[in-house]
Amino acid sequence: MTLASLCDEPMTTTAAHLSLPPVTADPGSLRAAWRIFWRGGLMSYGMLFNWARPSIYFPTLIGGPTFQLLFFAALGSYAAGRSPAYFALGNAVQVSALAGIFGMTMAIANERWFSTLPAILATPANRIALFAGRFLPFIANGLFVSLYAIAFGVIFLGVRFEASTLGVAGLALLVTVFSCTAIGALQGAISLRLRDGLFGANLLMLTFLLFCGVNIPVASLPAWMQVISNLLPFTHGLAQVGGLISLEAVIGVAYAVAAFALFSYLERSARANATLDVR
Amino acid sequence: MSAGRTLRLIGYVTWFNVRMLLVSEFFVLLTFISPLIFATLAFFLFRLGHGGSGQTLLYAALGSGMMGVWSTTLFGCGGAIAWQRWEGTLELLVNAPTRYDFILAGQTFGAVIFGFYGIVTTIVWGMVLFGMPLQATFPLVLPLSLFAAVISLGALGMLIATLFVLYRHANALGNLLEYPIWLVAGLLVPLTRLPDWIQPVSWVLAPTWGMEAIRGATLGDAPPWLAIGMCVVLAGAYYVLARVVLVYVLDKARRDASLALR
Amino acid sequence: MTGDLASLSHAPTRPGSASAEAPAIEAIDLVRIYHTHVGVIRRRPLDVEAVRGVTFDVRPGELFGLLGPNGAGKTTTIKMLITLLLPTSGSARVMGFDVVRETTEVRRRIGYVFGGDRGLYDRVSGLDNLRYFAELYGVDPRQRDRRIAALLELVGLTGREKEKVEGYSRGMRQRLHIARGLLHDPEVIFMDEPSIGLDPIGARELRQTVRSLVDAGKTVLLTTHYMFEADALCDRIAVINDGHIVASGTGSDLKSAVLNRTIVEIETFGVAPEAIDRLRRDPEVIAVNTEERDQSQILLIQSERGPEITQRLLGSLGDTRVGKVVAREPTLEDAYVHLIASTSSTDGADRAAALG
Repeated sequence: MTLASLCDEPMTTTAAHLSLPPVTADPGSLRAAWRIFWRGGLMSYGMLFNWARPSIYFPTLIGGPTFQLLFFAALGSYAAGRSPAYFALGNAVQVSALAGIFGMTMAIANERWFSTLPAILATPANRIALFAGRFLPFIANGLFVSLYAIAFGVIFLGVRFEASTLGVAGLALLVTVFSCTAIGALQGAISLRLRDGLFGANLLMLTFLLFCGVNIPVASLPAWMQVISNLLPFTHGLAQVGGLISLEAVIGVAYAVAAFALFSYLERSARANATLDVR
Repeated sequence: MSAGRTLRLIGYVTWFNVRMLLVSEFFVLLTFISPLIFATLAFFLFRLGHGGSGQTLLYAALGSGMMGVWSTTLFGCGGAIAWQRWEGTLELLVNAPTRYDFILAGQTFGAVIFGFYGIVTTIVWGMVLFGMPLQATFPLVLPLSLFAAVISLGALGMLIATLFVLYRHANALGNLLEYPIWLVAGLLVPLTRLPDWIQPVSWVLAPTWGMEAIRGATLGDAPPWLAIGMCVVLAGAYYVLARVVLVYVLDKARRDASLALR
Repeated sequence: MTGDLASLSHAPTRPGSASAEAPAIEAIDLVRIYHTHVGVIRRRPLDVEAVRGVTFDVRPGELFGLLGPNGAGKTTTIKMLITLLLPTSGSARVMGFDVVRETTEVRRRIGYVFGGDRGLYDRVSGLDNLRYFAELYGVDPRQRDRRIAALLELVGLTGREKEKVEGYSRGMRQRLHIARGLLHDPEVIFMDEPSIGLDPIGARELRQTVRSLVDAGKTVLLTTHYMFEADALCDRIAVINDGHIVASGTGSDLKSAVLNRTIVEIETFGVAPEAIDRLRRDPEVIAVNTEERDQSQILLIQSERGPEITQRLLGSLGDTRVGKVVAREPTLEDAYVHLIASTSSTDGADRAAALG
């Protein structure tokens, strides 16, 4: 025993209590970012999506869309004298936005509900990965809901696809679901500062019904409404033409970037102004 | 309790609930904005198919307005008990010396009357933007029709409020029951276009006869006495059913200690 | 002025080059003003100074306590140190990194433990909460599960980790917060009123856990409004009131402020304000504090005289009904009450309380 150790304070017995295995954490690595994007994104679904339990999921995301298809097929064929299949297809794509828009709104609003926002913001996690990861489950969910609704339309309401256009239609659906989720993210970021996020989410769903060619061909809308139609997701994706799909993708990316920019701005201003419940 | 006091209580609770709904963005959307969007949609669709005569536009405006009434009834009444349970006020109300069904009646009528304001905005919207004419073939019957529609929907709202307590996620049922009732009650599509087997369902729904009563007085060839009568009969039936369910629900809640359950 | 070693040690140091003297946490004149509005109809802007110039440093491996009443500025100070809030003026460094500019570097080195039962994802299990934050802190996935298992063991949640958090008791939630704060093996741990809502046994276990963290070489800054907790745990304590640090040092340093005094506790029934005023005017009485009980009021009288003053004090009370009378030596609590009472500006305390 050396003299130095004699001079030290006596060893405490409680040190043995804390026998934690060593751990290395490198939040700046690419692998950490990838895991936040992929695994963190998937985990956030169960944590934040109010409808992620069967007793709500099935009435809302399967039952609701089914009746929506039936309603508009009946209304459209009676009022406009067109084939029910036209309305069934449009609405089958539109219901994919349910998961994207409400999901992203809840994903952000619920961070406030659980008061977890400060805990998240205090982590060194890569913000782009964190943000983009939240898209994944809702895109998957939107695709699932939409494919179910399309299948329902094919079986009961006479929706038909030509084999040659299936690929394009599938791509259009994927891009549309992405752009809906992106506008949902923007709506969610906006709702971070507003009281009632469900207002915006519901309003967006209604707007899609009216403006995006889901029920009324965009060409038969007044010119000023067509301007709005062209700026919203959906409109181009629903048209299912190659060039328009890429336009839809551009719109989706634009909304996603805008949402991330707003989110980053809100995070920065929260530090300065003690908003977002960080106080 | 005297009849005057009871009416006063129901009236006060109704008014209180209307004010609560007015400050909720969600209900403003449900009652005022959503019907305008559906009315606009219907106007465009009817123009494509029927050329958009004044009669058709009014038909669509009334139907869209009634869709809003149904949504408000569904979410306003369906959530009424669930919401109070969540807020922790349900125990207080049930234990108040006043009969709980009167309080519940005030709350549900508040939601329904709030919903009927939506019809007015829809009609104004149609007149201003689409040049819709305002007409009523039996203007003296119209107030009766509206009254009949309100009491039948209000009584249905009470039944919904009590039934939804049994299901923890009442709002999910709300999400599920909007479109099918819009369809089955013939609000925008005539019942004759629906399969025959659905018709009996339509007959026991308040929105069906409420809509029929209002349309009969505005667009019909004969006064809608049958529809008005059906509204009154249904209102009575709903109220009796609601009382039965309420007794069961409150008793069950006391046994399971679920009044304060979240 | 000549440069001496003591002033050099305040120069910012980088980790790696860190000498033993470099503080783990260093706050220099931190100020935080909240801009809010008052009034519903005529909204007037109001600036609330939650923290009004706080300076302290915490040495590596030290357990430092910020002690103060609700609304004193403890949480605001912590939120600036953990990068969630920007200081209005002043600066702070954690392990040598600036909390305003080098946020990522600070964040990966610190753990933050909330007080209270909010701030968890209720709908999923405790395990999922930990796994999620392990990802956000970039914990090596191969070590993750062993680390989480050990942390669950440490906080006593082993066996309950697969249950949904919505079914957890307050104490379990609080322990889950602690496990979360330690996931990435932070060098500095901030705990904001960690014992709030814990039962006495849970609070004692918490204190053991905190102690063992320090024994393992961690630096801990904790806030509390329990004197005994600060006294039992902390190497050094800073008492914060109304946005200022009003005293700092070891528990015995703080006690020395009232060391020579005698505390006379007199239980009274319906004491008149004039009687209290008479006591206050007594030249040998330093302070009089009253505590309201159900039926009675406890007068806490500080004096520099010995217990023999008791008779005179009772005389000043006149015909007031008197119950139990005790003369005793001062405790840390008396020191604390003295510090808080002598530094509170009433309007400031009100505004701070409104902030929560």
